[in-house]
Amino acid sequence: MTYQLVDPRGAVHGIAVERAPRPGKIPRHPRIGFLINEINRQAGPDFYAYSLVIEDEMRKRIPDLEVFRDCKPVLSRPADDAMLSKFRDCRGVVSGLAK
Amino acid sequence: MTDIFPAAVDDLAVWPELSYALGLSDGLPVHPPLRATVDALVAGTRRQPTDVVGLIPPRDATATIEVIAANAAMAGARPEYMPVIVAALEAMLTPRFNLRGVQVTTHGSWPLVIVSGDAVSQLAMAHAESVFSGGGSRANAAIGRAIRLVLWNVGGSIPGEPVKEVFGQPGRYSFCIAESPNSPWEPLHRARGLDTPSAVTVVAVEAPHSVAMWGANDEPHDRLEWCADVMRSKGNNNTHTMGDVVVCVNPSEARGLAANGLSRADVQRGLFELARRRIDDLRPTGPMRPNNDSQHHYTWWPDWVDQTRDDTMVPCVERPDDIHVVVCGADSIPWWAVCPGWGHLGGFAETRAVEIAATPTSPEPA
Repeated sequence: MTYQLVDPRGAVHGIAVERAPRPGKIPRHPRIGFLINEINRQAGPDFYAYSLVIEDEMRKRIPDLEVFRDCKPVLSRPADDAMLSKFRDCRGVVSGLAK
Repeated sequence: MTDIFPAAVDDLAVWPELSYALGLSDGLPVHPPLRATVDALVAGTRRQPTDVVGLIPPRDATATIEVIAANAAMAGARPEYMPVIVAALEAMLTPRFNLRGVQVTTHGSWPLVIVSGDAVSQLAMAHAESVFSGGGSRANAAIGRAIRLVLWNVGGSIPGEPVKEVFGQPGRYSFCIAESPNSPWEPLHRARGLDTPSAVTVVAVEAPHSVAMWGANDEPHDRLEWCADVMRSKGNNNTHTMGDVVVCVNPSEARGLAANGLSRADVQRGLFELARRRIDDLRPTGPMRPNNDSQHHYTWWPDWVDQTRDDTMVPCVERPDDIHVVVCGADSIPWWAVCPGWGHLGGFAETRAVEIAATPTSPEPA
């Protein structure tokens, strides 16, 4: 006897996204974004402080680095389109995990 | 490990190992999603199998009625449970519930499914002894389990990646309760403004914390204070961020409160006033302790919380309505329970009407 089964996993209709091109050479005055979860840390991982360390390290290697920072209104929710649009002209964005 | 789901098998004896190899279970055994069973469950919804209920985060796969039915079949659900399961999932998919966050957070909250009204007896749901562990009812166990399996299989809520929950809680296996028909107050959903015979409410909360009335006298204020003391616990997310809380009152205790003239709204207001903590008791301690400067204020608290004073008493919710009072549990000695919420981050209560489509045949729970 044959038993018919129904797949319980549902279909994923993902959007194909190509990996961003890796520049062989860093351009002049690169703009880097930091999307912070919680700027006035009260508890948990201090991502804001981590990001300052990363910024310091980057500035040592890229003296003319320009940095743009913003903070999500709610740390556990994805940033909305309006906030993401502020990062559009960044060469790269560092974002943190929710705690 | 394989990821090829077979359209059919010749021998059901292969199913248990196959289900584990496919990662279709969180560890507990599951029934095979047989086509005939799934079709019967779809019929219980009065909807088309291809109807899309939504994308279940974080995997964002499509939950059609048929896919939900397949998970319900694995959970051992009956067709008449399907309206509750589908309505609960639709409620969780409202943006303010933030199901993506609920699924992957480090916090130990999980969507609690609360059935109220006529559906409780129609589905022979347990509402008394052991209500939070199913109460011996197939309906409680299977509805909660079906939700879990949808969130697991469609949503991909796999521990480690992407789920970062530090400890978890046993309610993740199945988390469904029913409100007691012996309540002195109106059903939960009517109190929340839904004028239907039955409904389901979902809210992301921790496992119940027991509130035994050790030493409390019979005055309502004393009873509320015992509960408030658990609600304002220093480690609760609510205490620091507000959000929603579920407070369970067993029927005998609810009758006692009602006999003293308290409505459900009175209980909510009373707890709102009592479940507060001094703001200087909430700030981090140690050499880095912040002062009252605005740079250290919690940005998520409402403006009416005066964060410039050390003696401000901060409630653990923003409004009395955010305290969801549910009458359930054994109708025996007075007892309460508190289920703290996720906080201001999401998992906020959502209520949907439920219409039971078929005549239930499940036996009454023990």
